[in-house]
Amino acid sequence: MAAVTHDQLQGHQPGPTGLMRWLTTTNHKDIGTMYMIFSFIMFLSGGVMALTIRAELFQPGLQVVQPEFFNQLTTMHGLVMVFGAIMPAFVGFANWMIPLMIGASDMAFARMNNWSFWLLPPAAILLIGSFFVPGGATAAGWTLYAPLSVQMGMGMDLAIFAIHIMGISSIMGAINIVVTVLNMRAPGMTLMKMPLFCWTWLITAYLLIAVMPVLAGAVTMILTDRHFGTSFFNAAGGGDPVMYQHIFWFFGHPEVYIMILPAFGIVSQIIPTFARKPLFGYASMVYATASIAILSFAVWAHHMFATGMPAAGQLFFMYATMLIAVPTGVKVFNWVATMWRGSMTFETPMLWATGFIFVFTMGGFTGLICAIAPIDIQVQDTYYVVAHFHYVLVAGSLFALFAGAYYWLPKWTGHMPSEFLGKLHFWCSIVFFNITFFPMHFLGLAGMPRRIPDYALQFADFNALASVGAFGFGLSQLIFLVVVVKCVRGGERAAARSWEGAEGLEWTVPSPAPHHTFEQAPVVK
Amino acid sequence: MNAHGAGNPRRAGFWPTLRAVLWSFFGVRRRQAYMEDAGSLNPLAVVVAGVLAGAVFVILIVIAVQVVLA
Repeated sequence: MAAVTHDQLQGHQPGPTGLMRWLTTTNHKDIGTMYMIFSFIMFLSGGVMALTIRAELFQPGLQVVQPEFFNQLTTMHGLVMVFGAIMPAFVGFANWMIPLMIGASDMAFARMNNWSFWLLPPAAILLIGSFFVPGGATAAGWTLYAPLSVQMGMGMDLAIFAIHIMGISSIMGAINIVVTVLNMRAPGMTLMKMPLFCWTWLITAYLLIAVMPVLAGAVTMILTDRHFGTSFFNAAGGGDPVMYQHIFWFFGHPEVYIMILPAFGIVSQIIPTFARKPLFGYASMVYATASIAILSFAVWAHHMFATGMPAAGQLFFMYATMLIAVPTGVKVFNWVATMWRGSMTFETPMLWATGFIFVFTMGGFTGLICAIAPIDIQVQDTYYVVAHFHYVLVAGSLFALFAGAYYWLPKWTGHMPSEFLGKLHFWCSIVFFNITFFPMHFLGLAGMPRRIPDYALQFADFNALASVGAFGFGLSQLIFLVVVVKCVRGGERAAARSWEGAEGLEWTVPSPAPHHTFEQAPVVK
Repeated sequence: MNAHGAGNPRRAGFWPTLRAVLWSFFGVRRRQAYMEDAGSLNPLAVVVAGVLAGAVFVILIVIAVQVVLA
């Protein structure tokens, strides 16, 4: 497959129109747009599941759904948000922005790019459709732990195939990003001049290539245990269910960084723009990202302290986990140092980016608390953990995605997003986010287990508060939909350099970015 | 790796590569040192040094754990 685009091969002949344009497109901007629309649809789907969960948990007792369906909802909410919303959204950003940032005309493997995307809708149909098969969707938790996952109905098989397909899509997307970044940079765009978003994605892409096959292996072993008589995770047949957890988390922990490193990249683009200063410690940021990626392979069993592990194992994973906080702390320090004495303004993207730092750091600190093995054994599988990872994944990944969306919407649509609606979206989100998830720390510390549809009476008040917050947060996301629709339909024209302090090649092309950019590679001084 | 940077000599020795990798584990690097790294380090050597340093890091934690448990 050559590193030229379909459109170039066609000599700019007008391509198909309508649905066929989107089915056959090899243009990185079209594919990026499709990734983002897909991920937003999945985000709303996963959000509806979350709100059903919170509706059930508004009061003790069973009011809204049956326990079996509740378990399906918690499982599918996790799978849909991780594999359907967050990961494809970042790949959408990568598709749109990496070629523009490095001065490439398109992604390296344009046809494979099309296939990477179009694998996702069938996977989503398999996943969501599993609700409607006998026995319903998988209810083993998003981690799909054996032996539960070996015992589920055919919804589990559909989830396994969906994960296989999404994994293939991710691997192809990652290969495309690595090859594009390494081979298609404009003259003068050395690796160390590259925008940090490209760096974080390059490193993320390596992580994806390394760990997605591990997940595929894990779910394949579940599949063969279910249908082909193997006993990988069946103790009666000589297997070990804990081995599944080791394999899953060998994928799962780097996966956490797959979902946060591109977010670091987005925030590292936005803060210098609105602080009107170069990023403090660019080199440190690159080095710290690489460091986090390497160390992420050596901490997986901190998810499994409660499974019964020798003291040496607990101490190893506890120390390693605490040490990985150092490079992450360096990043937070660098963002704050970039803002220090900058000429800061707080347009919507900057609000989201500063909100990200504030709330993500809280998630980081609760992660450190969970890293301490004796504490983790107390809070394992409680709402404390639910609070922790939502502070990292919602306040981290999702807030950074919104920051990036507001930042680059002018480049994508040619119109400036509404500042009023953007700020309303931000303030509603950050307030309701904290109302939803902050009380969960207290619930967890008080001993409320996760993944239960009913709970003891003493947890009622905080749960009611969290449910009110969740509905506020969920409805606030519709503001974003309104902003994007308004932005696509019209509004204030965006200049090529849409933000005063913005630097980089993407701001040298008109807004909206033409369908083909950088056919003649720019020269970077 | 970068066709456009092919003219650059990338002949940093073992110790400068390892030093850069060790700084990366801390996540901090001086601008001057980074400029030198950018011009002289061989990316393949950096990856190899990173994996080796990762292994050493793991061994060091194992030793620390053994000391604590002794």
